[in-house]
Amino acid sequence: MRAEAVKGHLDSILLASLEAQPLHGYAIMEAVRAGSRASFDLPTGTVYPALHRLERAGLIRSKWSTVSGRRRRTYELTERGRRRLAEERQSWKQFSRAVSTLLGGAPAGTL
Amino acid sequence: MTSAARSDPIDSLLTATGARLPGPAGPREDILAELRDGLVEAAEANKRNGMGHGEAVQLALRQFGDARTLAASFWPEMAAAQARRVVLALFATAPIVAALWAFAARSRGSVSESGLFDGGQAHLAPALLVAAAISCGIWTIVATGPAAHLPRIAPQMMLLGAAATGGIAVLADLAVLSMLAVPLAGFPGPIHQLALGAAMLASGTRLILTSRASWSCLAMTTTATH
Repeated sequence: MRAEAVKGHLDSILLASLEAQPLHGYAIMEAVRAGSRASFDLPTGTVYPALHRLERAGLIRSKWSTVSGRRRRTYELTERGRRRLAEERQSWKQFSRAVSTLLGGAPAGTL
Repeated sequence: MTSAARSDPIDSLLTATGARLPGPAGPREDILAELRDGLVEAAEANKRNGMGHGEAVQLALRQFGDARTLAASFWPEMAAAQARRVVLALFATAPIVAALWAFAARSRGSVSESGLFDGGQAHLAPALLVAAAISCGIWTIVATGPAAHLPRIAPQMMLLGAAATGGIAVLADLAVLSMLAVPLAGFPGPIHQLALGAAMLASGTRLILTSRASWSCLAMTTTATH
């Protein structure tokens, strides 16, 4: 699936990837790839800047450590990020239910 | 092949990417360190999938993209870092300069006795300029921080916000300098003259640095690669 397809949901996907545990940038890309069963292969130039933007917004925080002699930046959700993820998840459920109903031809009353 | 030689392709990519990233050195070094870690991790993952070292590194390089693409994707982050840094520096130094001028004014006696602020609405212009600079600065801080996840604010706007903050701060500093320096210079006393000199030096330094910083923000808007 092309990166453009997830553009509007990139922040939510990245927040969700950090829900279980802190991860570094490449591990986040791998987690998204594995979690989507290889449907989402997000490019580096999309993921890293988005992580920095989310950190500036206070939704995630990062810590530096040294691994095998090189610096590593690991990200984790903040409390604000967890609340935002819960909101996004709820919003997505409503949206996907509505679209599924429309595309599936189900009666509008089920929305 | 030595490990240093093996890392050459990664070093080359990072050097080329860094050369295309304008703005403050700290954030640039952090970006390059993070990319290095990611590239090495990607190469290691490729090796675990059965590739030889050279092939694994080359694939990692292709996965991450060329220097031009990487630099373009990180340019907004550098713009935000530059804008934020300039505004925070302005906010941090303003109280120091103000305190030095207050000390200079008090060192010759009561401020009210000096007649410095008896000029009716003469101090209104500096006050308005200071208020405008603070407003622009707060907008820039919010745009580069808490509002970073909201519908996108163009990085150029962040830089323009910082440049405007600096430009208005320069005008405010000039107004304060012209309003206080000449009247205060007429009072004798070594402590007063020393305090006045320190205030003028601080204002002059801030004027020069702020002008440079504002110009660098404006110049950086022209380096956008996308």
